[in-house]
Parts: sequence; structure tokens; C-alpha cells
Amino acid sequence: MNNLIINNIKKSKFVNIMRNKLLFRPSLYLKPKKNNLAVSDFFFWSCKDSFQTKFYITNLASQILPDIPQDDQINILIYDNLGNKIDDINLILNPFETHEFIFDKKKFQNIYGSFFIFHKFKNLGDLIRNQCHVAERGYTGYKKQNGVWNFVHGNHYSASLLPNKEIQSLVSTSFFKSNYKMQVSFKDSIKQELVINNPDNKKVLFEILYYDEKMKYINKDNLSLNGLNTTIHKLTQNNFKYIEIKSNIIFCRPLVIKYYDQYFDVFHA
Amino acid sequence: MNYFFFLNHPDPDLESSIELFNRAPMDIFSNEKKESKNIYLFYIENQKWKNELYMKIQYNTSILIKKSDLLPKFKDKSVFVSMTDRELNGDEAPFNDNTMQSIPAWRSNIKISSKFTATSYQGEIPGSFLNLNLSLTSCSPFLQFGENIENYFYLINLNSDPIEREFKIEILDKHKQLIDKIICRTNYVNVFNLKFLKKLTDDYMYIFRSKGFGGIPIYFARTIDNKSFSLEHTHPPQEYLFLGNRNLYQKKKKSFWLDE
Repeated sequence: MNNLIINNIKKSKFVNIMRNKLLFRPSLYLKPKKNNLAVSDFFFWSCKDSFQTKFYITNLASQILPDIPQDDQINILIYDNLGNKIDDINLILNPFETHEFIFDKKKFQNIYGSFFIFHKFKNLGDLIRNQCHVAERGYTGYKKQNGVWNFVHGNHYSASLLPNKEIQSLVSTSFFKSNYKMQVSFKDSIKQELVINNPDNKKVLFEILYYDEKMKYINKDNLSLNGLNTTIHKLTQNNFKYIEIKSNIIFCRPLVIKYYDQYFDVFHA
Repeated sequence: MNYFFFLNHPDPDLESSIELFNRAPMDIFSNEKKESKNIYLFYIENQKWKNELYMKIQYNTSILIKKSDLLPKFKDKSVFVSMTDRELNGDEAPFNDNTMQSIPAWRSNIKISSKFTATSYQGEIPGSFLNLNLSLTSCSPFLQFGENIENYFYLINLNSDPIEREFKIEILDKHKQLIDKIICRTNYVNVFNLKFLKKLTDDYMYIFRSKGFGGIPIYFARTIDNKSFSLEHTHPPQEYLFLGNRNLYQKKKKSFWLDE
């Protein structure tokens, strides 16, 4: 009985948050407020300059519970780089249907930001009993001119959608900053950018730390991002090779865009 | 231990490489030993595992290894790379230990380059895969169709049994109708030009399945002039769930697509 009480306290949301705040046995993500809430990554999109973006939305009920063929109600929430909600789209996908959602360059002319995709289906089977949340971590394609679509899969469990349509951020934050050391170098390309977004409603501070080829610290850029904002941060320091990100978001893994002679590479750091 | 691999490509104008780091991505989620390690190349010769020391890597440094940097004897072989603080004898097979235990996973940058551009992803094969009986269910929307576009499918299989075996991968549409089959090998970086696939008229999803063996399914697309690339893997089925007993649904999805 005592063990059960201790375990329940350990699992309680308050204890979880406090452990994160103090960086004492922190967790990467928070638990959604209710058992039936859907979760989404905060995906980057861009129609800036010659960029095009698309996303393959697939019926997740068919992916998770293929034995229960059913419709999937999709809610796409699109934000610009300043965190303004600029579109709220509802779709229904038939069983096993996949929809190609292309960001309209006329509608979203020369702007960029991030978006959520939340799924809802009537029959959740035994997902709630097994304490699982449906999570959109699918595939975004980016393209310039006549190149191929360059795909990236979802990377975070960024937020859940509350019944009142408010966003609940699931990214863990701390009073102390933690470092994410990217396992990639940057000398091979001619221009480099990090895409960082903030699925939380509160402002978050970031430091981009530059290191030379001997892993010697050179300099840093300080950034702050308001709630639901997105930034494309150009890496401008001379002679840097490696990057670390320091943030109050415990697990801050950005998207990397490297530009080469003819095209670009995009991936999760 | 995690293992890394070269995405060998039949086009000699393409270079495959891995960039390996001797440091965990986050100190707070790792118990790494902050010391130099030995980088080993693992490969199969005469149905036996062999390994060779490539170099010692100092703590907090990285090394870019191109496939073409390796000795000529590795040119046509699948080579798996890892790091350990141990000294291995040359007959030791890939093994699993806590050397690279970390959250998030300790990855390397796995890249394909041409003289015009490059594409990469942060990847690894967890050592825990070595003794698992894996199957494959990969639902891929990554295929791109156009006059000047080619798609390639990679399946990277690694397991501790050095006997190279053939296994069949079936490519299905969303109605489970068989479109085609390909034959892969175990402990091998399998690569196929998917030019035999035509655009599906009513959907974007192709399903690659195998009951016998699994691996990491990776999709590479290029314009044939090698001026633009795309590279990404599909998620394992449980990645569409957050928290809870996710493995149960992985089994359900595999049972559905593998007709088990």
C-alpha cells in the first residue's frame, strides 16, 4: 500500500513538473491532461522565398487500430512565425486514406511558421485503458524549384489539444538550462539554418553555442521565442564547426537546414 | 552500443559517409564514460563475423568516415561501425553493451553526397536489435514520380548470426494487393532502384512488409542529375502513439499487415 502511494506521488503531474524544474531525474515530455487527448508535433512549414511545403496526413486509426476501419477527423492548426493562428482546417479521412496537404503559396505568400495536426476517431478501442495517446509524427516535405520533395519525419510530442481547443504544451521546461549537443558538423555546406519553434504559451530563451573544429567554444547567439513562435536562425559565426543549443526547454532539438551548391538538406538534429 | 552504416549506392558519383561523435547528445540523460574509445568496423567474411580497429577517437571529438576512405577490400561489403572502450579480438561479432546508452539515442549523421548536394539523417541501429526476431511493416508515402526522378529503397539488416540469409519483401498497396517483391539479405545494406513501381492512382502509400526479417527501412529519392536529394526512414508503428503500452499496438499493426 505504501509503495502504491509513493508510486502515485512519483507519477503525479506536480511531482513530474517539479522534477523537471529542478532537473532532478527530469522527463522529456509531460503527460496530457486527459487520457483521450490527441498529441501532435509542432511541424515547420515555409512558403518563404522559393520554399514549398507539404504534409502527408494519413488515417491514424488505420495505422494504430487497423482492425477497426473508421473515419479519422483531422484538425490542422496553422500558425505564422509570430504565433498567430492563421488557419484552422478540418478534414475527414476514410479508412486507410492518405491526404496530400500542400501549403498554398498564394494563401501563405512568403511567410512561414509551424502547425499542429490533431486526430480524433470515434472508436479508440482499448487505447485509453492502455494509457496511449494518438500522436501525429508524420512526414513533411520541403522543396525548392524543380528539386525533389525533401522529407522529414516528426520528431517531438509537442502538444495536446484540450476539449476547449486550447493547446497544452507537453515539452518539459526547467529553471535551469540544459544543453543539446548536435551530433553533426556544419563545415560541409555553404549556408546553415536552425529552425526552432516554441509549442509553449510562455516565452522561452535559447542560446546557440558555436564551437570550432577543436570543439573550442567561440561565441553564442541569444534568442527568445514567444509562445507558438517559429524562427529560422541563420548560423553566421565565422569558422564554426559544431553547435550546441542551451535552453530552458529540456530537450530542444531543432530542425537543421544545410544549403549546398544546388540544393538543401533538412533533418532533425 | 549503437551501430552505424554506409548507404552504399550503385551510382559511383555518389559518396556515402557517416559522421561519428564520441559524446552523448545530452549529459543529463547519459552515463557515458568521458574517455577515448575505439572505432571498429564489423563485417562478414566466409560466413563469420570479423572486426577491424579503424581508429581511436578522443572524447568530445568527431570523425567523418567516407566509405571510400576504407580499404579496397570493403568496397563491395556492408560495413557496420561502432565505438567501444574495449579492445576486441578480430573474430568478435557485434555485441550490445551500455557504451552508448543515452536519451535521446546516440546517433551519427548518415549521409549521401554528390558534387552538387547532400542528404542525411541522424540514424543508428540499436545494439538491442542484434538478437531480436524482427519483421517489417513500413508504410511509406516517400515515393516521388516524375520524368527525372528515381526512388531507392534501403533496408539495413543487422543481427548477430553471421550466416547471410535471403528473405523476401513484398510491396503492397493500401488494399493489401501485392504490387511486387524484392529479395534482401541479412547483415547487409540492401538497396533497390524502385523504377518498377508506377504511381498509384488513388493513394500515396506503399507498404513494404516482410515476415522473415526486418531492419531499418530508408527511402532515398534523387533527380537523376544528382542535383537534389531526399532521405528519410519511416517510423516504427509505435511512434504514432505517446505513452502507455505502445508495443501492443505495434504487434496489432504488424499482425494486420503480415496476415498473422
